[in-house]
Amino acid sequence: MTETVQLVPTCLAGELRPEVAHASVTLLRAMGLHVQVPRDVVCCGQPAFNTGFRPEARRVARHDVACLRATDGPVVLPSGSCAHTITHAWSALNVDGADAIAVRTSELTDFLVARGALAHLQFRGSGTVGYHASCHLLRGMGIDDAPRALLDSIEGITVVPLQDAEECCGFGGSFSVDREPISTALLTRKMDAVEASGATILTGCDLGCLLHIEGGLRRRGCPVRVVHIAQLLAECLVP
Amino acid sequence: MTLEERIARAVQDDHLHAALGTAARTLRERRAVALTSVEDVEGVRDAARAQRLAGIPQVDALISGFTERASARGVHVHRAADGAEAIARVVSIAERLGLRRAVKSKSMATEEIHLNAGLEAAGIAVRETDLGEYIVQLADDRPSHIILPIVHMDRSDVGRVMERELDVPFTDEPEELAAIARARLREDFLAADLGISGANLAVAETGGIVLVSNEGNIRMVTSLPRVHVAIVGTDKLVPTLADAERILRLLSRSATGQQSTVYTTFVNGPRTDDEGPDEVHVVFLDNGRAHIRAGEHAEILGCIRCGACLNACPVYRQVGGHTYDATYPGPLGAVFMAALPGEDHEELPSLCTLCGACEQICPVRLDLPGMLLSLRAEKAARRGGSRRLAMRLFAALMSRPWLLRLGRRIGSWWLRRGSSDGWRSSAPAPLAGWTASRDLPVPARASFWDTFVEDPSVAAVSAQSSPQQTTFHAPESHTSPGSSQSSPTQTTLATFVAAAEALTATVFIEDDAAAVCARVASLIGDAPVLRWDHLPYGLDPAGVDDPAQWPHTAIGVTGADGGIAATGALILGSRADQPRRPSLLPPHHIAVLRRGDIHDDLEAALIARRDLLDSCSSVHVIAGPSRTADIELHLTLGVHGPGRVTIVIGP
Repeated sequence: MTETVQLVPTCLAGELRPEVAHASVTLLRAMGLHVQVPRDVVCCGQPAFNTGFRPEARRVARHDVACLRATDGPVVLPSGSCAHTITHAWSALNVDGADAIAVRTSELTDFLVARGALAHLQFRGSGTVGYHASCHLLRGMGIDDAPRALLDSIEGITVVPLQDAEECCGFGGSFSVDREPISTALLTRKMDAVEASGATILTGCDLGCLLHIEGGLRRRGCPVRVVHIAQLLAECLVP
Repeated sequence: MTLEERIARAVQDDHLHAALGTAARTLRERRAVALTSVEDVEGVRDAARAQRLAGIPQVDALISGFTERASARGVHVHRAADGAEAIARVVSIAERLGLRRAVKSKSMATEEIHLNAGLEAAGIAVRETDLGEYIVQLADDRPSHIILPIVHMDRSDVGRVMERELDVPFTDEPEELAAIARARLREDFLAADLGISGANLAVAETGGIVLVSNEGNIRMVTSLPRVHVAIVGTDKLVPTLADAERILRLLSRSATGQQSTVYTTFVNGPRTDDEGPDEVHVVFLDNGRAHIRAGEHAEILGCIRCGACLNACPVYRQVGGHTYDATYPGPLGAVFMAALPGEDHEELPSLCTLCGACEQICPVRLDLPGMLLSLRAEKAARRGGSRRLAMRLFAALMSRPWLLRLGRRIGSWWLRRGSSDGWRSSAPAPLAGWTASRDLPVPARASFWDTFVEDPSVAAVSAQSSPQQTTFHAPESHTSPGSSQSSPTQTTLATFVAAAEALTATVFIEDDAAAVCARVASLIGDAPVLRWDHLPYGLDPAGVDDPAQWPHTAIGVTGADGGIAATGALILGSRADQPRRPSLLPPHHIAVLRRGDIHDDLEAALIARRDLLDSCSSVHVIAGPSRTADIELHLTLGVHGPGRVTIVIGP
């Protein structure tokens, strides 16, 4: 008899980085959980919400709530930002039934640690790792210890601090395009911090920020590997 | 210049980034340290937030209460709907009394209404007296930060402005720059007939206003000219003195990282003696606040204007205050300005990555990101532009995944064209903004949904019955060791001395009256001093009788109505026999304090000495020597008030 969790891969991981969603499945299964994917929940609606298009955001949220209502168990997302939208924005949009979904919803690393992953799972790897604390996870959800504890539990890696680790990378969704010069200035600071840290791997819990930083590092020709924490943990998982 | 042009210019300005980066980091670090001295700081923040939000709808009642009590003490209270009305009030006061020369302390409310231009058009000369605002005025610039007006300048910039505008030799030594300003402004203070200030708080319970400052210019502005006019946004009203004290506990710590600003001035009314203004006017300024109060963003009226959100905002640090082209920049400014009537500032909420650093640092926990989002929604509802179409398409696709799956094949193919190993280096609009500085990730060949296979080998059950579910143990709670309640006097005295010395005050503790007198005599020597009429312990040094000599006297000697252990501050009430000038005009202030008059903190002092607010035209809480950090946060002592403070504590 196994508990079921609903994995919402998020639109970014689902479309751009399916390996992150698959890695999330691997970790949840390693915890002995049965993973279901509510196939019709693609996006939380954040792009519309953050740009002020509330009727459009509400439409997406209503659709998602209807899909998730029909499922059982915790709702888990490999993203602090999307989890934040579900737990905070949906109720601000007055979507019926949103509160019941919000209490079931967790960000992946927070969920894993709360379920005892530090005692149940073993990780081994190598490399020097920098952790990017994404804003919605850190300040929006108040989650910082869980991902750091998971990283610290990986035998063989060294975690190094980043200068101004709590400063935004400048992504901000459509901000990255609408206010490109400011976004780029912030990204430059973040990339400088990553390079100065000596990290060979940069990880974090939000694909939006990570793809933003990775896109910048690629343009710069910097060889630091950028990888979502789910993927890093799944790679390091000792079977 | 358009907003886009201002941004483009600011992001290239390394000079600006260096200045802002250092200042913002220093202030954030100092704030964090300063807040550790507040007992139950999170509880205090919660209480301050609750009180601020509760006060917003009560503004009319608060103004009535304030007016009743202030009028009883002879203060004239006015209400102005907008800047034009406020300016007209000040002009009519000035015309009635023939006032021509105004000195002004830093006030964002007056910046809001462009008071200086209005007064100058009516023939009234206005001199800004805060060091930063003085430089702004000389340079014909505008403040770029609500606490640090010239944070965008470095010391050589300031030196060049002074060289050019004041015809003095160039120097970039902050002490010399401050000394030049002190000398020039001293003349202005003494010649002025009108003092104009803002207010940090207006207290309905007492009918008085509270002002905080470091340089001493606010004490000059509220003490020396014949008339004092305070322009006060209606959002500065608080119900009680206890509410005001709670905000004061957060304000200077959040703004500059000081336990207390050097001067906390309680202005209660016109003079009751031979000094201080003949008339005190308080002009409550609405200027759009009623509109905000009635709307969805009323919460912004809870702002206490500490400026911490500017220091926390990564966007502000990149673009600086001038890019906002608004009275209030930064997160609070983007909300306040955009929430005002009209659409002039509707673009400002776009200057935000939604990182939440402002909400986290805000002493009263304003939901600034939430308000910025809802202002974006108001704008989108007014004028969605082409993005509305895009968002409709987005919503349609995301709520009809079958359509998305169909569309995916086309979109994915289109985006994958011209990509190498999953990235593109250029893309057409609207994604061209992304590829300006970043490679763009393209969709995977097969999405997760295409490839996920549910594990059929395990039987699914609902959540509760899991054997795998491990109980998560919360860490054991430790009872705090409980601070011992030791004898208050010794501890209080020691705390006071340590805090005062930390502010660079010199402290002497004497055992009896004779020793106090001997100590003071050795400090002052033979020269006559400015002094209170009655000094404790039978002290009776020779005073300066000729008012013309007052501004040039080297030493002022006063008693003190109390001391505050937590901050090392002195409390001085102004009355006929306790004039303000001895603690304000001379470069050296000697205060004689009885050790029994030291209170633990401002809260205790305000409770114990509530009588001062009723019996004195103003009450000054003085924490060390006058200071400024307007130039590159460089600490310079002795701006307008005394640069040296000596405290002699007697039995």
